[in-house]
Amino acid sequence: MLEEQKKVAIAVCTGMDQPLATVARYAGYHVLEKLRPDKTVLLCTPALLGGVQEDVDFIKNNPALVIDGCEEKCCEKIVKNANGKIRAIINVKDVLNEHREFQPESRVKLGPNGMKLAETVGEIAAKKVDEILEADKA
Amino acid sequence: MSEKKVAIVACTGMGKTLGTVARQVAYKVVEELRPEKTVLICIPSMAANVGEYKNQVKNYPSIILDGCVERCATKVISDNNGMIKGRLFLPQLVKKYGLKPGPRTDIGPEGEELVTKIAQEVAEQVDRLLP
Amino acid sequence: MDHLEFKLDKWTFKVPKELLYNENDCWAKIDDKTATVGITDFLQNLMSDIVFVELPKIGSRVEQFDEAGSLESIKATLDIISPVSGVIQDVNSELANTPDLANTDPYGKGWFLRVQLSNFESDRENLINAETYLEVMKKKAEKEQQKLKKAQSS
Repeated sequence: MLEEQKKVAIAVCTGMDQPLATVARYAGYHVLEKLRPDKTVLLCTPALLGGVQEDVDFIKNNPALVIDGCEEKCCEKIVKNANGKIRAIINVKDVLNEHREFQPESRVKLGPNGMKLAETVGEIAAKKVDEILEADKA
Repeated sequence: MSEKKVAIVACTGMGKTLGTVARQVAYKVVEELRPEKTVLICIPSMAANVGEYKNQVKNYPSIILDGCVERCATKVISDNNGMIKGRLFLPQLVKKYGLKPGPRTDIGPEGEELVTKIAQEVAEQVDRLLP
Repeated sequence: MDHLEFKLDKWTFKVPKELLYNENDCWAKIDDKTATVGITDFLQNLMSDIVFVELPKIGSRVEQFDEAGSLESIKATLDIISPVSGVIQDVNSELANTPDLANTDPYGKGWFLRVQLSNFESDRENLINAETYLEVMKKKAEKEQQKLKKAQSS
């Protein structure tokens, strides 16, 4: 039954300033739509800030994976503030440090390398989703 | 805070394609159309007390781009005592221009055209606020 | 309004117990000889942001299963299928300026029509109660979710 399986909330920074925030956005979509569609739910950070009940409730009642775009860690702060249960955090900057070849072009258009970075972040997130759900089963 | 600017606030929501459109509109206005007259507000940074965004929305007139009926950007800016001087509700602009964007990950040519038209509306609003 | 609920991921779909439904996701609230008609929470969610509502003329006749207006969202255009027969007594003129009332308050301020009933005894046989509609809705929601996942993964 669809509503019985626990899912991981994917919370993305949705920042506007940095190209890595745009990378975080696409990484969130990648893990939700391509990699783990049956195991994840996308949280809308602006909706959480705007008090949209479905996002406010979901983050309180489900494990969260945060994808932040920079060292300011805005999404982590926002989710903590909303009493979210953060079980994993990925910072896109850290992933870029490991994959310097995947430099995004700009915050408006990531380009092929930026999209590759987003996919790489998505793959890391997907593994963390599996770990979270496995740990919760035990 | 020096010369007056207009703060451009996009909802940047993740759930719907118009969140992506709002984001692109904001970039187009701030980077291409009215770079000297506008500042870009990052809602998550503002919420996390990072940067000058809270001061900027208090001191500069804001134009809000809301991507759906929840109108989150309006709510957040109102909660932060922002000076809202313009609000665009993107679903109505889809109807107005007869342009349906593609999915949230790739808004497609109609989405790009919609971005261009909405950005032009915003630029004109900026000019009315800062002649 | 007391309601049944169905949760799917982060969404909760409400189905007020006191209303009757058709399988085209419209509801009817019966008050003696009139019915107020609207769309369900499930349908407004499925349609996404509603940007235009076209409603029939006051005084026109409508039969059960007839088209009684249409709604347009950023995703699609859909005909409203009337759950009841009768004469259109009133339409919700607020929807002209604020069509998204159908999204934000589908069972209240987002109502569509008021119908002077002509044949409710017969119409009633083709309407379902909240419990039955909940099951219809669950199946539709599951199907839509699978469709969406298939589209997104391709």
